[in-house]
Amino acid sequence: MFINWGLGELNLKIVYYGPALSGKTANLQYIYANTPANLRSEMVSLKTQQDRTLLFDFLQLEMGKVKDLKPKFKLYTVPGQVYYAASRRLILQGVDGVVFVADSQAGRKVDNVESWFTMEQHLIEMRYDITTFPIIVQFNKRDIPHSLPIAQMRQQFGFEESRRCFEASALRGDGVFETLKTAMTQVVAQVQQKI
Amino acid sequence: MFGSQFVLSAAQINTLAADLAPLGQQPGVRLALLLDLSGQEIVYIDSYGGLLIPSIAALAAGDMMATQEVGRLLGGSRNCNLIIQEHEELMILIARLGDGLLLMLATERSVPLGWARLALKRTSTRILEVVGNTTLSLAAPAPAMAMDAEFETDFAAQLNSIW
Ligand SMILES: Nc1nc2c(ncn2[C@@H]2O[C@H](COP(=O)(O)OP(=O)(O)OP(=O)(O)O)[C@@H](O)[C@H]2O)c(=O)[nH]1
Ligand SMILES: [Mg+2]
Repeated sequence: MFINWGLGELNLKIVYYGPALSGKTANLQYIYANTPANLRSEMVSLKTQQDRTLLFDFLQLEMGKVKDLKPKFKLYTVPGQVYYAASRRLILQGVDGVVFVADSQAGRKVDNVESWFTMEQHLIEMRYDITTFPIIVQFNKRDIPHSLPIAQMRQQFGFEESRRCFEASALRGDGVFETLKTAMTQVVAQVQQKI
Repeated sequence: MFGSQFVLSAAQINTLAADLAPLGQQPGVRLALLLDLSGQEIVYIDSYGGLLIPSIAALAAGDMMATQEVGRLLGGSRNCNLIIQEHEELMILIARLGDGLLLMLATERSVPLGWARLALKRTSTRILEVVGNTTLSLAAPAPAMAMDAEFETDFAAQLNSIW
């Protein structure tokens, strides 16, 4: 979080985290393509020739003034491939909220859980209190036939009943903005509590 | 670890902008940008205008992160303090200030490297006098009334009108 009272700006950072190929970049691409140009930056993607995220994707969203403050959100994705752990940790620097993008395909259970676990580890190392830190869960790729039932998805992670999870298809756009708006709202609520 | 929250008053922002100002007066300087390691731009001088500052800030921080990681994989255990990039028409320097800040200077090739290094060093010293050597944690208290219940409803209404 960075509040610039000179410009009246409230800057917040949201990181899309999750296992390889779960659809983190696809979320940002859909947001980019469906947001008015005056409210978003260009999208920066540092990727391999095979379109896998190498370091991060970046997209800034702005909105009009809310009371005296102009909120700006910097969205990042991390690279999900296992060997980019150092990059993931670095991109989490200064994060205000995480969207965890899980893959709903049956074969991805171990990857989902491992990614969740390492995310928690990184946040704890950075001295975030993960019991209150905003983590919004998205079950992506719901459009794929035979994707795991929601109850089984929740069970993978051992989520409590009270945790809300968002079903999405980043490819079609279903659930993408619902997830984003919830993340933005929770991140702002968290800032409100702090100041 | 770099603290993730900071608040700067208008007066502090002005002081920082004044610290950068001499860099902008040097002919051949395209950009002077103060940012933090999380990719957040703080103040900048964009000499010709029109630069995509948020993207540049995100990439500059990513550049420092990547370089730092290369150093670590090569057996280094300390910070990288300065990156110097020679492009065909540009020179770009990214210096680390304290624990969590970066200062980026981009110039035409005609600007001597010696000047650029010295200018970065001088500016860094002045900036650290404003923000302190470690983190920028809550340098100025945020007026609480800025974010009340009305803020919440306005914010929600705007989100729903955009998407
Ligand atoms: N069917 C389907 N395919 C999806 C969906 N979301 C993403 N994909 C596809 O899954 C593949 C990987 O998507 P990305 O968005 O690149 O995944 P990522 O999480 O950014 O992957 P890394 O950058 O390697 O971590 C691409 O071929 C996408 O088109 C979805 O909701 N449904
Ligand atoms: Mg990606």
